[in-house]
Amino acid sequence: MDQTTAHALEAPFVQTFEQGNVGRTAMEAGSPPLLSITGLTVVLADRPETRLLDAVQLELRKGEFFALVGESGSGKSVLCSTIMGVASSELRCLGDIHIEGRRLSDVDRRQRAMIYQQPSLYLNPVRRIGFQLRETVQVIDGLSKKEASERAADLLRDVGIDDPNETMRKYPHEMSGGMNQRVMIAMAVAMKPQLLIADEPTSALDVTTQKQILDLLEQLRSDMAILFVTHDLGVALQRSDRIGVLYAGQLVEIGRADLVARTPLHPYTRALFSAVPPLSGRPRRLHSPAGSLPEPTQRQAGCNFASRCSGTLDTCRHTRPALQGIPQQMVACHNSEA
Amino acid sequence: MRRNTQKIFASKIARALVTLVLMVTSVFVLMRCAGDPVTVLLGPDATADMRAAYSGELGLDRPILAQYLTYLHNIVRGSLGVSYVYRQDALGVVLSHLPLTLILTCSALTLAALTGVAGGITAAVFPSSFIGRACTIGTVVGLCVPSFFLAIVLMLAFSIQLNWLPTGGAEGWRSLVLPAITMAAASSAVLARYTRVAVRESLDSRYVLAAFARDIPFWRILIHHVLPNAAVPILTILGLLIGGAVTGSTVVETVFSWPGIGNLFVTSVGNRDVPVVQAIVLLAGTAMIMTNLAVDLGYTWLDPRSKSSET
Repeated sequence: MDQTTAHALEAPFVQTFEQGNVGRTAMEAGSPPLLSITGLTVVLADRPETRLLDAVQLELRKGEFFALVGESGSGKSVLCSTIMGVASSELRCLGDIHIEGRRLSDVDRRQRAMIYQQPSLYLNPVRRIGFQLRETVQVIDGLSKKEASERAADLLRDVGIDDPNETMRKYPHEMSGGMNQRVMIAMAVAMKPQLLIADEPTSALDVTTQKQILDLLEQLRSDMAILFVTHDLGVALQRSDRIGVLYAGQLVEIGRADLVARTPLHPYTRALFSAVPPLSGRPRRLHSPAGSLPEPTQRQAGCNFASRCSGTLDTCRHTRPALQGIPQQMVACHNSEA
Repeated sequence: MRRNTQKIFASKIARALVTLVLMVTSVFVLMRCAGDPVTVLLGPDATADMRAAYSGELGLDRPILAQYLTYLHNIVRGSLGVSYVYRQDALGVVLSHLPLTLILTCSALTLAALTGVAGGITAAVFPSSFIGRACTIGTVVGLCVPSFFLAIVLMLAFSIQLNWLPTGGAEGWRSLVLPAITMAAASSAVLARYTRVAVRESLDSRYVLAAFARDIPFWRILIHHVLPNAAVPILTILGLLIGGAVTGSTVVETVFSWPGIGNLFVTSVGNRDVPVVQAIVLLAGTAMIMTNLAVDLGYTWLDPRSKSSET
């Protein structure tokens, strides 16, 4: 454990993170969960043994900024589209998703909004920005065309676009990725959702724009819960209250961001930390675990990380570990106390 | 942006003009390759004197370049020679057949556009329903059945068995029905096929997924998001169909003895009426180039991306 603590403290973002997160944990107590996911398992419809998500357990509260971290293929996007209710028809979902205590199928679609990694692909290329935003406002609020135009301009101003009327006349291809992402956020805000899913919204943007978009999301969190999906550990720790680490379709660690940053309990989380290059000091060789993420078709009965883990026990090969520990930080590992 | 659009328009029009000149030139070359016009006109028994006299009269003894320039000059003046059969201006003969062809092709294309686009959308939106499957099967049948066969089947059924409609001629709207349906069938199938693919592709796109996630009603998505995107390939196909149809379908006009340009074309080839054939070919080529130009210009209106990508 000492060794891992040392690793974590080496990471430069821990400092920033601790300054930025004072007083954020208050929301953990009280209020019932806004989003509650229990035992969510997603399989391929024609091959049910292939699990893309495996018994995912997750609760989000209003005002919470939750970061979901995982590498490509870990199931992040499957989770997002399942919550949004737009999962491919080739997938079958088992388990429960509740929003404010109601089953997902009974919940108004407008309760959830989503923004995406490549906003330009999610905007209609042949319709003007103004049309698309106004349409959303009209459908959601039932406003007249003129009122909707004014509301659309206000929404664009709120997301930091200074010349909304000019922007509304443009087509998506005439705008930068950052501007398109702002438009997507404006559309999401127009829906007044309880839950905002942000699927790597800043991965395709340059760092300056990235910061602006993240600040924008920070402003929104008072009205909703934000599920922020990323593979950028630094961003995740800096901005979020809690983080979850997804590995091969399973949440292997979930907890308060400051606790996870200080003492990552799962060997995979530790591996993620040691793969982040330091910003200061002598560059060291970055560690990455041997092997690669097991394909969904090749996952074994035991722990998915067993083949890449240095502390593998006998039980790891036979029994899938479940999340356990104190509510502030849970881990799915047989050897986490070691 | 506006200036850019003008530039694109100018370059497209210029390109169409170049194509036009190339087309006119190849018609000239092909006509000279088709055989010695003097032999064609006078028959193999003509004496050498007669041949020489006729050559001189038609200007065929002059250098080929001079002949070509005269040909171009005549085209610009709108004179395409005198029909051997009708003893009238060839272009005039062709144009007098044009209205009937336009009536037939316009009704056939309207029918094809309505049924084809509607069928394609239905097949794309309800791929596994009965009506969607029916559209898909109808498309395949329409593509496979040749028009001369369909014409005969329709004639047997509606003219001979039921005696509802005439087998041919051009008297009143009743004689228009069967040729229009026959001509529309194949075009409708082609359109339906491309519409289905285009609509399907747009329905599967991410902007449609995002629109669904914004709770926009399905019909609104279809009309305001899917169709504007699918319109580009549909317009392309429609343009090709119009371009090809302006001169009439030779097969349909012949089978139903519809006295349009297509019918005139077949008769004139049989009569070796070179000026008329040439006039029809030039008209067909011009129509094709013009509709293609119209489609090209339509793109910039339908797809705003084409304005900025093509500079």
